[in-house]
Amino acid sequence: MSNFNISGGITGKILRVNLSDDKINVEDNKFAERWIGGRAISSWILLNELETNTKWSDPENCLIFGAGALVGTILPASNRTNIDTLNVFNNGKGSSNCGGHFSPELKFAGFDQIVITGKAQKPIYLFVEDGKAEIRDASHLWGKTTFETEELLKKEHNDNKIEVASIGPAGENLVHGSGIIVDCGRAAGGSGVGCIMGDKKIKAIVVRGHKEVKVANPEKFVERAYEAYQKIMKRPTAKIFRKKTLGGLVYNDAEQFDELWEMMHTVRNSQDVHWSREKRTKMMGKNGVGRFFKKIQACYACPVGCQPYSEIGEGKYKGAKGLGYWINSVMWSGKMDVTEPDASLKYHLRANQLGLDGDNSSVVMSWAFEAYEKGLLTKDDTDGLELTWGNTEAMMELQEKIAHRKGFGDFLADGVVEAAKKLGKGSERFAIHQKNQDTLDPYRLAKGWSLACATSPIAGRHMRGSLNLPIAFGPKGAKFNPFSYKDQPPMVFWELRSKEIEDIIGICVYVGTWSGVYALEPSDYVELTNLALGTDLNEEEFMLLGQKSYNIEKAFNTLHVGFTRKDDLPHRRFFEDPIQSGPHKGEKLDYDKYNSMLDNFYDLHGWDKETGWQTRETLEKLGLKDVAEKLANAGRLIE
Amino acid sequence: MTNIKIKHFPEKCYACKTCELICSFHHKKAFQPSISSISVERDHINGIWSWSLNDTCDKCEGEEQPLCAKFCFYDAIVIEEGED
Repeated sequence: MSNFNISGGITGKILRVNLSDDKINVEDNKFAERWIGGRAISSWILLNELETNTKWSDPENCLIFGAGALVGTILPASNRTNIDTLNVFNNGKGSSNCGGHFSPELKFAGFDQIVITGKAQKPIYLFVEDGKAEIRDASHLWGKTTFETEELLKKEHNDNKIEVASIGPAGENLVHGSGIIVDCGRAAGGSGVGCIMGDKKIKAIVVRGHKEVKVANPEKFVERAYEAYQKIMKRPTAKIFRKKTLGGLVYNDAEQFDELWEMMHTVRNSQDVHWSREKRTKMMGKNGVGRFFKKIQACYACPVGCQPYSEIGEGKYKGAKGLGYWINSVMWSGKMDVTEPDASLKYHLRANQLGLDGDNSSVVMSWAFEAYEKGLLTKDDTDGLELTWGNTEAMMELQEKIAHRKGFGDFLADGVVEAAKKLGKGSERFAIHQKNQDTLDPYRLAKGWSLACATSPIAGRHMRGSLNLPIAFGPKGAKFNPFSYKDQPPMVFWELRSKEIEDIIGICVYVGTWSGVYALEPSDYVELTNLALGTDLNEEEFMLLGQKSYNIEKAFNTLHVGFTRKDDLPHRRFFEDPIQSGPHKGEKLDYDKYNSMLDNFYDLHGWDKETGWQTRETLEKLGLKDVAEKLANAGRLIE
Repeated sequence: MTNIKIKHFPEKCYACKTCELICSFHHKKAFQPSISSISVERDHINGIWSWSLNDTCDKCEGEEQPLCAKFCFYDAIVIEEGED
């Protein structure tokens, strides 16, 4: 068991709030000496403090907001907020993460983590300022959009510098695929974190801080951080993002990068991956969504600047304005084959206002479109909506219905697995989920992306080591062909540990090893962390910490849900239904090759290949004997 | 460094607050935006970011150059010769 001696970076305090009895406590952050910060701490709290039979809607469920250990310092792009809780789709590990300006303010308010349990009787918001917190009435905010909520709270506090994380109607109505919105544009989606917040009747968390964040070696840290900024700015894409960013370079260059589009996209409920160049250009070419682009707003201390601010000045959606638009937003439209750029932007902005996670909700919506195509649903079931591919109006209306649980929207609001159970008629066959959570991602072509999403402890999300491009980093000498089964396990195993470190210190992947400008890497992280925290870590120890953090989430799922190897295989559609068009027409996953890839991945982790479970030997080697004991007591450890 | 001016170009500013943060470091050798000479505010809904500099700015006395300009990677803060 590591014992880090930390003398900077963190605030050293955790805020505990129990909404059932209105108790607020501040405690010392005793977890940092083992886990440093960020998600690793939150995962550890959940593993140790939740009974394994706790369900997401039980008052005992914890909702944890956690800042990375270096958030609030001048480390480039150190602004990530981790949100951890039970996953509403499966009662296993729920986790989400977003950028923006919330987490730095939380640190300046004096806290590394906020741990919320219990349930409020009526709508409340939590105001956290300078080492203290208050539970305040939010009855007047209930029903408001996230945009309205932030605007009203800034007026009420007479302070434009408060930072707000809020839910919209979707979270209030316990829509499973609902998120938490920060900065009116940074969305923490997945796991239904917005639904958990709504269930606890928390409309918003407001943070404001005037305190300091100290680092152990101030001058050297700032000097090294400046070098990190320079390293980022030297990367070829660093200055392109800020000029052409609509989720990144690729999406303004719709006529290029054919292969990447094939790997990234899913079309018509994942029946296909190919979207013609004509459709892509219509959406993302010069006259596509980019024509509404006005300017950029960057996340805290970020030199990349990837978040567009757009305003629609014409047509049916005139007046819609706000932050964000990513590759995910394009994928949402592709799911329903909608190619109207103004509608797609409006749909994105409206998702943020409603607090709806577009990744989840577009899956269940496109499932409904396919059920309609197959005649399993008719207009009598859908409140008169014609769910035909490319029907923009239907997409827009269904989004509102889901967020408000109105009519047919209520039928879809618990996610695709529940909707398919209700409909039956064989519709389970094309309810695309992973570990019970609706999954947006592509699984057929880029095998590293597929492997990481399928095995992700947070169920079919791509932020745990997924890869589709040869990266500049990774294990020495490793080969990487995105289509090869053999090349993936070592790269994914490397990348997921790097990602854990990024979430422990709170740095954005867009300056790291996974995406964006591909600049900083674990050797940078370890140097900067040591200077900030006063630790004496080496790169190997840091990667090992990342591996431990991942193993906590794995153990949590084994204990709480009992996931096994079968839950780490992608949905049957990707094995059985070939790609319908384009250069990869006819391709699908090979069951035997996929299983060999999974064997290799388990070998690298030191997990049992038959069950997919962790072994005593591996956990003890990682210094996680206490985790092994928990699993052994539950009869879910391979001895 | 009294014969220099710190100029901010709003059209180039992305409201990342790096300047606000590093300014506080100059004053305190710690990160504390509330004591910064710079204040950045953001209106997310209307897309308006504002920037202001108060009279606690000493133009980073003791540093080779004002840190706000050094750490602005959007070229929104520029140092010019001459008095304010």
